Amino acid sequence: MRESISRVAQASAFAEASADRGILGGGWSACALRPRVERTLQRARSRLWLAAALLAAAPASALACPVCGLVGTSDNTWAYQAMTATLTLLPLAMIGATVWWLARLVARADTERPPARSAGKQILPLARRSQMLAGPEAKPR
Amino acid sequence: MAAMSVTRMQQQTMRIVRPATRREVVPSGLLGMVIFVGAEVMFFAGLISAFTISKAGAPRDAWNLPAGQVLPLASTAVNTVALFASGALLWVAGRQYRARSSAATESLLAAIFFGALFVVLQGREWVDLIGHGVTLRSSALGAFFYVIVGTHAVHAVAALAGLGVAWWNLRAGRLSYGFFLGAQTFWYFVVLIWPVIYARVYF
Repeated sequence: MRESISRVAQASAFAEASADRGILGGGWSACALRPRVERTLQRARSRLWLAAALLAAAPASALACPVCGLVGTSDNTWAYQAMTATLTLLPLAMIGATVWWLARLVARADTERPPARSAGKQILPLARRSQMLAGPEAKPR
Repeated sequence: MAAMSVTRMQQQTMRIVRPATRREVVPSGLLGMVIFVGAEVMFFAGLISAFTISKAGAPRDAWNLPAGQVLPLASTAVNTVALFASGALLWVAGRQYRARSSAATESLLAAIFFGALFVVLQGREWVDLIGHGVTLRSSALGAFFYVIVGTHAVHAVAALAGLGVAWWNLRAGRLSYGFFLGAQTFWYFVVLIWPVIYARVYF
């Protein structure tokens, strides 16, 4: 089906480009290739419709994935879904556990030592900083 | 005047914004190993996922070893006990190391011994299986078995090498706590991932 769509798209693009640029002897309507191109397009469209009808009538046969919910044995459907859930949740659980563990270690370190002395830059209120930068003689605003 | 004021401003700024005092809440070696182990967990999860889906999709009579061979459940259970003993001894070594570093030498060596015993016994099983015609190409189960168990064995050997270096440095009195914790974490990973592999692949 994908091949048919691709062929239709290619043929349409070629026809439009030819018409726009005046290739093939000065105009698409007078071109000798036009009947053949249109016939090819017509055939491709028919195949496209046929594929769409088949897909609608028998989705199980048309599905490429053998382990999706619609087809396959119950065993491999279960295995597929369980492994999808595992591979999705496992990294999230590991990242969450690592963040929780680090946060707990940081919290414990904070209780053992006051954070103001150890947490890097000491941030003072803006008014106090302005006053200190201006010097002791300056009055606070 | 302007220069003086700039200098004073710089001095004041230095007084306000104190240089950062770095503190290590977790040793870098341990944090790096935790991230690495996370990646390894996903690697094994991918292998086990592929195994599970392939097994579920295969016809029942096609999922077996050639010539009626079966995977050695009982002897692998014994190997598993050796691996758990190694993990327990390493836990004891960790406690001893925190109390008095030199006290951990013997228990660490015992942990390495039991870990090496696990690898050697697994290798002996492999030799038996290969002798009975079970190879990577003999069946899908054989291929998965060698890839998953072999990958675990490679990790076990690498972790044992790390523990060996830790033991050597401990004897020489130059083992850092971060390195010990990293080696310990990697070995715990090897020990704890094994029951999952054993339960999925052997049964």
